Amino acid sequence: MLKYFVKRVLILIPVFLCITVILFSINKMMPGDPVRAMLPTNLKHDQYQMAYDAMYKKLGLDKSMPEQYWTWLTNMFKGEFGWSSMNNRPVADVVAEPIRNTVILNFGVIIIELLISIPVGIWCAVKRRSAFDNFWQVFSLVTWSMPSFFIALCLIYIFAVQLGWLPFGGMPNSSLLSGWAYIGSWLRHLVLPTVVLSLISIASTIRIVRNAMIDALNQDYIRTARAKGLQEKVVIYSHAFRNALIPVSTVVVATFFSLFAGSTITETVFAWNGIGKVMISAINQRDTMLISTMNAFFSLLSVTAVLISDIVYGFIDPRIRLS
Amino acid sequence: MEKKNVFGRIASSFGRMFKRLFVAEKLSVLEEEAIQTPLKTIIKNFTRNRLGMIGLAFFIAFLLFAFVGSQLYPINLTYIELTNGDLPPGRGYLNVPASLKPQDIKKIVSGVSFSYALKNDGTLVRWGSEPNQKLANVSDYVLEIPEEVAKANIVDIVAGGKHMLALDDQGHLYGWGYYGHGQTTAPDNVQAELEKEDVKVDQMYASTMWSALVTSDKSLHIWGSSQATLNFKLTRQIRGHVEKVAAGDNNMIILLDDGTVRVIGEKSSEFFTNVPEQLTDGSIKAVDVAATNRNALVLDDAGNIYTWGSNQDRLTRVPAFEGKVAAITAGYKHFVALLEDGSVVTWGANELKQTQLPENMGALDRVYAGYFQNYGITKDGTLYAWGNRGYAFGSDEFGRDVLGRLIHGGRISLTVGAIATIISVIIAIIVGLSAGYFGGWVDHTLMRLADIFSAIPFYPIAVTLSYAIGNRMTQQARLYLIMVILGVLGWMGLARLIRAQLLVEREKDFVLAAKALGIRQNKIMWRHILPNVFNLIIVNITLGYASSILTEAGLSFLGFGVAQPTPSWGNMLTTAQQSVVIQYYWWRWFIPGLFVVLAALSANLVGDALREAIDPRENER
Repeated sequence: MLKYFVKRVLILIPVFLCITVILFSINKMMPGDPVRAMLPTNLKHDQYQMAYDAMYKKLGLDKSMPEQYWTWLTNMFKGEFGWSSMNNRPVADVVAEPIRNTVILNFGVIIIELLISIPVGIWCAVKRRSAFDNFWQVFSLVTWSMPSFFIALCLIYIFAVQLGWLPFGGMPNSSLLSGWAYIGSWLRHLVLPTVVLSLISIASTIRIVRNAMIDALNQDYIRTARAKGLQEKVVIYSHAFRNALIPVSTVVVATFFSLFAGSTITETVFAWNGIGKVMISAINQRDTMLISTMNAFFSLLSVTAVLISDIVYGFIDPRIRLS
Repeated sequence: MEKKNVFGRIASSFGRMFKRLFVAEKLSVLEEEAIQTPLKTIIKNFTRNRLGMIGLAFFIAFLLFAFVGSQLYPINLTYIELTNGDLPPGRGYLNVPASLKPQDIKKIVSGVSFSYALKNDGTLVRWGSEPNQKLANVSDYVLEIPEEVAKANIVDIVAGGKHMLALDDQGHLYGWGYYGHGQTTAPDNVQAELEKEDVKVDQMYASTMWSALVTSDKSLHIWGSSQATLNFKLTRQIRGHVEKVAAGDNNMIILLDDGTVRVIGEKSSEFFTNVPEQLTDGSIKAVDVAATNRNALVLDDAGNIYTWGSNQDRLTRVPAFEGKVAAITAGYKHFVALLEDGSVVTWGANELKQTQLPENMGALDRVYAGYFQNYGITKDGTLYAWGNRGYAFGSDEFGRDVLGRLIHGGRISLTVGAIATIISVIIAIIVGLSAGYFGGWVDHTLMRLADIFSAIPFYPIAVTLSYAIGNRMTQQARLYLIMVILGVLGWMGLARLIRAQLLVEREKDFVLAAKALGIRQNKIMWRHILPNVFNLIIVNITLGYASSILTEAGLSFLGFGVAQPTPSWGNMLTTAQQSVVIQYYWWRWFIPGLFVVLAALSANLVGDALREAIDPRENER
C-alpha cells in the first residue's frame, strides 16, 4: 500500500508542477501593472518613481522568468500569498472565511447526495426498467441538461419570490442575530444553494451508481451467489454493492473536491460568500494577487482530489495497487 | 368504422405472424441471409427509439429557429429603445376591440404599450398591455380605468409613456398609471387654478416623466419629475401667451398666441439651437406644433411644414410630397403629417415599424400617433392601425426584443457550442489515437498531459483566461477565444475513452484473425479497429455538444463568455443576478434559460438514443 501511495504521489508531483507553470504564465498575461497596484496613489511624481523602482525590485520583477517562477512557487508554499488590493488585506486573511463557508455548503451537499443517490441508484439497478427506474432516469437526464443558474433562478422565484419562505440569497447577519435565531438563519440561507448543488450532483451520481450496480449484478459471482440460494438482500448488498462501490467511491471523492470549483456559479447567484464568489469578485475588481492565489488553491484541491481518489481506489480494489 | 379498421389491422398482422411461424414463407436464400450494413442497423435502431426521435425533432427545430430564423428576422445589435425597457410579453398593442366603432371615436392616445380611445359619449376604451413599472411600488395599473373616471363624462385624454391624464366636463383632472415622479396628480397650485370659475383647460400634455396643462388664460403649468420642472423655465414672453405645446423628454416647443414658436429646455440640443429664425421673428404664422423626443415640427397657415432637431432616425429628412398639409402629429421617434387629400406622409425611425403604413389605406379623415403606435380613421369610417405590435417574449432592460435576441443568441450559442465540441473532439481523437496506437512513452506523456488538463479547475481558469486575454480583444475574437477555451479544457475524458477502447479492441479476436489473414497493420488499424472506436466518438460528440452549450451559458451568465451587445442564451441571463429581475421581469431570465435547457436536453436525448442504437448491449442497462 505504501509503495502504491508513494508511486501515485511521484506521478502527481510533475503534474502539479506543470499546472503551476500554466498558472504562472496566466498570471503574467493578466492585464494591469502589478507594481502600480501595490503602491499608494497619493505620491508625488519623483517619490512615486522611486517607490515604483523599489517595489519593482521588491516584487522581483527585475529577475529572470524562471527565478520569478521559483520565488512565486516557494512563496505560495510558505503561505505568503501577497496582498489583496480589493480588500486591502493580506490574501490569506481574505480567503479564510469564504473557505469555511464553502466547506459548510459542500459538506451538506455531499451528505445529501450520498443519502439519496446511493439507495436510489441501487434500487434503480435492481428494478431495472420499472416505473421507479424510469422516473429517476428522466430526472437525471433533465437535471443534467439544466444549467445550475437556471435551477437556482427557478427555485429563488418559487421559494423566495412567490412563497416568501426563504431568503433570496446572501449570508446570515451575525451582528443582528444570536443563538438559535442565528443558526436558524444559517440554515435558511443554506437551503437553496444546497438543493441546487445537490440536484446537479445527484443527477450524475445516480447514473454512476446504477451503471456500476448493473455491471456488478451481471457478474458471474452474482449468479453463483443466487444459485447457492443466498437471500436476495445479501446478494444485492454484500455481493453486488460492495463491488459497485469501487467506481462509486472514486466518483464521490472527485465530486466533493470538484464542488469547490464547480460551485462558482451557484455561489454567485445566491451571493453566498464562498470562494467561488470571491473568485468572481476578485476578477471583477482586477485583484491579481487574489486571483492567482485562488487559482493555485483550486488546482491544488483538484490534484489532491486525484490523489485521494487514486488512494481510495487502491484501498478498495487490491487489483489496482498490486498491478 | 374506425373500430373495424383497427380490428382488421390487428387480425391481419396476427395472421401474418402465424403464417411466418407455422407455414414457412418462401424467401429466397438471398432474402433470408440478407444482412444490413451497420449504418442501416444503427439508423433503424435509432428511429425506433421514441425519446431519441423527439430529441432529434426538437434539436432540428432549435437549429432551424436559430439559423434560418436569424436570416428571416434580422436585428440591429446596437439598437436600444430605453422607453420600451422591460415590457412583458404580449403582441396585442394594436388590437383595437372589435366593439369599438370608428364613428364613435373622438380621440385615440397611446403610451409605450397601451392605447386608449375616448368615445363621443365620454367613456373610455382601452387595449394593449400593461407597461411593467413595479419598481419601488410606484405604479397603479395604467390599463385599469379608475372608478371616478369611469363615472365621469370625459371630454379629453392624453397618454404619457406610462400614465394617463383625463379631463371631464366639470373641469376635473384625473391621472392614473405610473406615478413615480408625481406626474399623475397636479400640484395644489395648479388644482387651485383649475377651480377658478373662468379658467378652463385648453390642452393637456403628458410625457414619460411629467405632465403639462395649457389653460384658457394661456398659461402653462408643468409638474412631474424635478428635472423637467427645473429644465422648463418659462420666460415673460411665454407666460400668458401659450397657445399649444409639444415636447420631447428634455425640450418643449411652445406655440404662442402671436403665431411664433419658442423652444425651452435643454440648451445644448439641436432641438434648442436649430430653431428657424422666421418662426420666431413673426414672418411666418405657425398654426400647429408637434415634437418627437429630439425633433420639432411646425405647420404654418399656408400648409407648409418646418422641422429641425437631431439627425438621428432620419427625422430631419422630410420625404418629398405634393399637396398641402392639413394636420401634423408625432410619436416618440416619428412624425406623421396628414395631407388635405387624405393621404399620409410619415418619416422617422422604423425599427418598430412605426412609419410603415398599411397597404391600400383609403383617404384618412383623422390620424393619431402615439409613442410607437398609429391609428388612422378614413373618411368612410374604417380604422387602420400601424406601428409596434408588441413583443412576443417581452423586451429587456434596453427595450430590445427578447425574441430577436433569442434567435440570434441561439445562433451564437449553438455555433460556439458546436465549434468548441469540434475542437475538443479533434484534440481528443489525435491524443487518444496516438496514445493507444503508439503506446510506450508517447502514451505516457499524453496521458500525463490529460492528467494535467483534467486537474485544471474549469470555471476559475476559464474565467481567468477570458479576463486575462479576452479584455483586449474585439467582439469577434472574443467569440473565438471562448470556443478555444471550451475546446481546450474539455477533451480529456473523450481522449481517455478512445485510448481505452483502442486498447480493448486491439486485443480482440477479430484483430488476431485479420493479422492471421496477413492484412497489413495500417489497414487493420483504419478498417478494423477504428470503426469500433468511431461509434464512441459519434455518441460523445452529441453528449459533448450538450455540455458545451451548458458551459458556454454558464460562462456567459457570469459575464465572462460572449460579451454584450452580441447576444447569447447565457449572456441574456446575466442581469438575472439582480433580485429585481428575478422578481418582476421573469421573461428576461426564464425564456432564455428554458431554451438552454431544451437545447441541451434534446442533444442529450439524441446522444443517449445514439448510444443505445450503436451498441445494443446498452439496452440491457
